[in-house]
Amino acid sequence: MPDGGQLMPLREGQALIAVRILSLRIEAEDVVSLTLRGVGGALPGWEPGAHVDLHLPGGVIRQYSLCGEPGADWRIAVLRLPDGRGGSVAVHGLRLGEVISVSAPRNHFPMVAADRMLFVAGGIGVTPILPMVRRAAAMGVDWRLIYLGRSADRMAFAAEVAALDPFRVSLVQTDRDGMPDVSTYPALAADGVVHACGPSGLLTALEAAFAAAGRPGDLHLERFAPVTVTQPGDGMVRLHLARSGRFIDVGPEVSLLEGLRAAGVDHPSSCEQGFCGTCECRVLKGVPDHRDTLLSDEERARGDVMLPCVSRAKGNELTLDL
Amino acid sequence: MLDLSVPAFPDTRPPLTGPRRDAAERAMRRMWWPVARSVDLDQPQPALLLGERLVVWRTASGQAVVQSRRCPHRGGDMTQGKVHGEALACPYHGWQFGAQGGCTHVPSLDDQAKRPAKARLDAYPVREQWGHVWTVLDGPGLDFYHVPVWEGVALDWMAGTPLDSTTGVAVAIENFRDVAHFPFVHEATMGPSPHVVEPLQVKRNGLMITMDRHLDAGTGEWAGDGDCEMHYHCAAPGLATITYDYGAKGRRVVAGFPSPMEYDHVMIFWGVANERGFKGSSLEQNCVLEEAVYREDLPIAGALEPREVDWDGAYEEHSVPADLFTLNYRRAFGDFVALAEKAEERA
Repeated sequence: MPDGGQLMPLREGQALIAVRILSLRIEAEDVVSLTLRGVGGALPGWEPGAHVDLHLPGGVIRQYSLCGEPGADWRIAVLRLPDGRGGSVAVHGLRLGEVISVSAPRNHFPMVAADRMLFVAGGIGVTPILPMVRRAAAMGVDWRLIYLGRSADRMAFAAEVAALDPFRVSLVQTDRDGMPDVSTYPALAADGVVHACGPSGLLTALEAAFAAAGRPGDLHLERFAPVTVTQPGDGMVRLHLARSGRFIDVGPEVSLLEGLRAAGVDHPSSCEQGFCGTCECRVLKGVPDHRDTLLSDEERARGDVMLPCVSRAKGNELTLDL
Repeated sequence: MLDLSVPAFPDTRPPLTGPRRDAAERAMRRMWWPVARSVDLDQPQPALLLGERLVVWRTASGQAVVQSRRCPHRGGDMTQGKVHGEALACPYHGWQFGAQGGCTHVPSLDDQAKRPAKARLDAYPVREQWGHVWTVLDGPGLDFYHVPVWEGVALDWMAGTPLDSTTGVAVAIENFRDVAHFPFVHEATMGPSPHVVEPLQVKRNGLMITMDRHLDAGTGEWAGDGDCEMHYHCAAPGLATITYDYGAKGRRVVAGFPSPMEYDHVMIFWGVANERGFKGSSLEQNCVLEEAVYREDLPIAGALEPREVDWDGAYEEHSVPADLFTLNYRRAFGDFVALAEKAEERA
């Protein structure tokens, strides 16, 4: 990353931003928080639920929720997962003062305001929930947070949320208290909305509980892991961009679309799951490994178009009409 | 009946512009579109197709005719004219034109040999299908629709009341076959529908898009004949059909053919059909029911911005898996435009 906080234009609202790590803090067992300050000036604003992409050493791109206060330096918190895909370990290896690239904030988990709001956080899932709770408290609505963690020493920001209003925050240590019965949660938010983030099992149980209560629309949740688009065994793909003559190497853990973006190529997308077709591009040479759900068998066989958000290459080279 | 399609406020939606929009409109001039119901041809009928003002009439021998509406003498409106055997007479000075468009009689002339040779109406190809008269503006035209699921099935058709909707063809087709809007727009006719849309089984082959879906009879009138299998068959640019298979009771069909009066303003021609011997509801009942469903859609679909699918991508739009049918239809529409461009090159 060139120093000096230069903005690398990707597309409107999606420029890469250089940030310096202003502080590193141990928030709980295996959880470290990073405070980030813009190198080239003030950072863009964001709303509760927003996340940013961290561009980590080695070309790894990972998403983390912003969990500080809007308007101030950014804060993210990362749970170290030694058996994960490497993102969290790379974050834990970052050093104070280091400059890294991040995307502008995006929000796939916008807060839906209501007069009564229940928040459910499981483990590191507290990160997107924390700014929402702070917002709810500032709005003066009737809110409640249930924060589940294995034990107190593994629950980041527990003191911070409890300080907002101890009477509205329930800290549940599942090693000590056992797993709560989430089928009762719809009744806790009888005429309100629920925002939840946490491990997949917790969210699935919540979905079942709200579906059974006939209120699936009142539950808003975010899963930790976005849909994984790369597969074990995927290799590096060398993209040749015919119009610009550029060559871009995309690593095995990164989608071709992410690879294009990381290289500063403006390319539209929407679903990034291979069904909407927004990112479709023409293939001039090479054989795509189609992993989308939109193209017809005939189009697949023809191989002259592909959706780079999920699809890769048979062989390791593709020439695209970009 | 209250016309729900008229917006209460001036329509301020900006018109679409762009090269792909223009290509789509050029392509549509090479496709077949319905311009009248067959049952209405006891009188000449006005029609508007992609801005072309047309007259649709039937000769005494039974041939349906689609022609330009303006008399080339002094601009009489031929839809006010009268059929004289195999010719249509202008209401103003009685000039007559045959099915091929040529002027066959000028009443004011003593010597008919002095008829102006170049005076003629533009005559367009005609096809009568599914209770409607279809035509195509520019040649060479593309092939007419083909619905494999109806092959070998004897269907009796009844044309519904044509409905004016302030949307383009693609928006009308997408609305017809969208399932995620049922609980929000059609609760009155269909009863409560689930919000969550199961993974859709959509197949696309050339310009055809198909989907099979089981319908659990809800509490609405729509499902009065019980559970059934719904076979959706759509084709780009302008055909949307559902064949309801009730097993031993037989099959019934509803089909929509929105026809572009202007690029972003359709007349929705549509009809219902029953398999001969169908033991469920009658054609008349189905017509009333499907019209009620359509009329629930009109105020919503007729207010979408933009009025037609934005092929040039100026509008931001995001999709979810429940939109898979729409997304496939849009690809098929793109293929249709490409086919029409090839036909244009041949011309």
